[in-house]
Amino acid sequence: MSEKPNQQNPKKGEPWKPKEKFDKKANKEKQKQEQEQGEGKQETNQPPQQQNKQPIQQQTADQQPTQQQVPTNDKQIAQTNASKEQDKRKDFLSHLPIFQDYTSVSIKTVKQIDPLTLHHAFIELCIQYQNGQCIGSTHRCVEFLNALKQFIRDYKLSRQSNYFAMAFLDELKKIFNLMKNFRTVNEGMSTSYLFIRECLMILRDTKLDENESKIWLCNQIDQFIQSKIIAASELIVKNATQLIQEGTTILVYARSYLIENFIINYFKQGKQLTIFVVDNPQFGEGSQLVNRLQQQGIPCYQILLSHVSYILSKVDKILVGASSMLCNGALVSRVGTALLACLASTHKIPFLVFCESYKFSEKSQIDSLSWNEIAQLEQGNENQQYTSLSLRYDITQSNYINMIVTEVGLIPATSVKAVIGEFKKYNYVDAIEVPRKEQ
Amino acid sequence: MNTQKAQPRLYSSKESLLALKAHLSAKNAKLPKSPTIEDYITYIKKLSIRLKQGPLDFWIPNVYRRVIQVIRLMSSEDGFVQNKDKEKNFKALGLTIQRSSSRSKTTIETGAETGSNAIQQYVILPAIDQVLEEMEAHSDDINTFASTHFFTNEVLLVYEYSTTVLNFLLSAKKTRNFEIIVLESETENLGKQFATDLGKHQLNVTLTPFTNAYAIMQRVNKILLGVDAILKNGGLLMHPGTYAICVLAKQFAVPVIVLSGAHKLTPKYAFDQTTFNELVSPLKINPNSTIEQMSIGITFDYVPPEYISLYITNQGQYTPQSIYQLFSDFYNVKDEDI
Repeated sequence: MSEKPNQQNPKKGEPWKPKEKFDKKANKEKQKQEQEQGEGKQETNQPPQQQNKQPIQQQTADQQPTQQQVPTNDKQIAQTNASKEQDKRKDFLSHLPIFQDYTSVSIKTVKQIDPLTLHHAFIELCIQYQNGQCIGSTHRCVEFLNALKQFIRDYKLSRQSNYFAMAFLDELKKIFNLMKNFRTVNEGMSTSYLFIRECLMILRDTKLDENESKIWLCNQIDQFIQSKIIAASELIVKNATQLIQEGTTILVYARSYLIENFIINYFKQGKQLTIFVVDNPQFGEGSQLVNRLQQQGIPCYQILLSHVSYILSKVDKILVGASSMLCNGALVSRVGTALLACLASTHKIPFLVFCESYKFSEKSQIDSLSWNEIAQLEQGNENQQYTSLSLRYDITQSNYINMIVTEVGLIPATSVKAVIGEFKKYNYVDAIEVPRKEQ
Repeated sequence: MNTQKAQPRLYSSKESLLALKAHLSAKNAKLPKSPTIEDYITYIKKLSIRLKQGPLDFWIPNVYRRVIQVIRLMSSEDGFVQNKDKEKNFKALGLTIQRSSSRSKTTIETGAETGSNAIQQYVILPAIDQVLEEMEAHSDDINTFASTHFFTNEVLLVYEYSTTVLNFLLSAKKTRNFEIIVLESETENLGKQFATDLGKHQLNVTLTPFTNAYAIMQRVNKILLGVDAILKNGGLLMHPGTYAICVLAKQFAVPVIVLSGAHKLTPKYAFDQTTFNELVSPLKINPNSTIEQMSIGITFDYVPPEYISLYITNQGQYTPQSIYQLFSDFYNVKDEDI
């Protein structure tokens, strides 16, 4: 499939901006967004694609969303606003990616240019990422894989290539590149990408036809989710239950799928815990966890991160979830975790991390600012005299972490590299069953 | 108690001094007929206990203690007078002569009122005025140290609203170029207010939520903090969250500088987070909290003196090991019960 000329090749004299393709204006009315989400699937190609192509090509990358509507007249105003915002973000974080506030409307206009670029399942997913409906590393990964399965089912081979595997490999790369425009791909998604690539390599060597390949691939993805996420979660909960005695006081930060399961499981066994949930009002994850616990009838205390010093003397253990574990033993997690880890080490409180093994990464990072994601705060007025800054992730150094609970066991933070080395023998996943052609 | 959050503590101290003046000049002031200095002192002590807004109100007793100390100093028979004004010197001198002459006599009825008025006029009221003056000018005195601690293009971290820090930065801006990061706490809008106020003066300001403190800390060169109360061991009582910031600062070896006027010196001791603290209403933290899911919020954070590098007060610069000297100059040990 041919790539569009404006996607990769920069224009002469202009610095390469990876987001040149998308319409940069944001529509703030999220209700309208949700309405159109339903309509967006059904709408066919709108009138002239060419007309929309040119103004979008001329646009430079916005750094922050503006308050204006989509219509083509206001694109120039958006450009001047963009240059103002670019001036503001020339500080020490100018190297970090900032993600736009897209709506289905703006994405639709992109679809008009290249309707086959991004499947509607992914578009819905990206909007969910933006809204904050889909946050948390496990949740994002699972939703991504579900969208991918849907895409596989709808995918039709073009007549140029007979091999499903090779064609789909290209498609997969494209999807990933486009998804990176919405939010960075987290470690779990990268591992699943490697896994699917392995599957496709195996598929290439067999001679299954299109339908059977698709079914087999979907099955493999299901197995990945089952073994790496669901079964892993059960093992982790089992390992953790041995660690934590009844009646201890634990402190939990933000929301983690594993920790939530662990607490619910623990209470179902009839044991008691005193739970403090530290909330992060910016992302609202703490209150989500509290609501979930409330549904299960589990009492807990809520506290803010700045007030944590008061109860640290009463807490026995601190549990956090992870976005990924890095090769040098550092933990990438929700912003604020490092602060909690530092306080924990001062007060000599054990700091436990719950992490599945598919989130282990080969990267290394020392500080939180060399790579991060900037989260969009609520927008203040345009002429505020200060710049807002809000990060999404945080690096906790390995010397603050006491233990990592994974499905392969309880490991110290320094052994992450060894575990990755073990997995590399199997290409990050268990052995993949080679498909046989059904007669 | 802490309903007026954006107002500096200075206001409550000043108002309490003016209230003291009003009480003294009121006709039904419960003073004995010929009050001595000691009578005045007990009167002030009782008034402070009455006006105190709860066990965690330090600022009113502090200011009254200072007034009592100044009264003691001004009326001391050794004649060492601490105030600056020459007129007051002569008045006080005249008073000591008067007192030494009046000691031989018994209470003079006709002269009793004039005697009490004289004491009131020449000792008490000047003492109150002196303390008021000290408090008004505390910002200027602190700002004299503004340029001495910064180098060019520094990055400073501040937390929540503090008028002392604001004035300090504005005066330092004249000679140094720096960048400011404002941490805002999750519940109140004081951080935003501070950032706006700083931004109005063309300072380079970045506003960050509290959770990003660790990520930002490696970029920071110094931390400037305003304080609610300085305790006698050098510990501090501050806005909740400052303890976490100071712990981080120690990890990253970032110096912490505390700015305060001397009216915040409190001759009490604390050892942990619970000595001087109060839980706030759960609904303030989270409007949806229930009995099963209770929200916990606190009023103060106690920071032990090991985390602080320097105190800058209007009486000078001190380290945590030496700040007790300021207490002995500033207050008298007899007054620590109010």
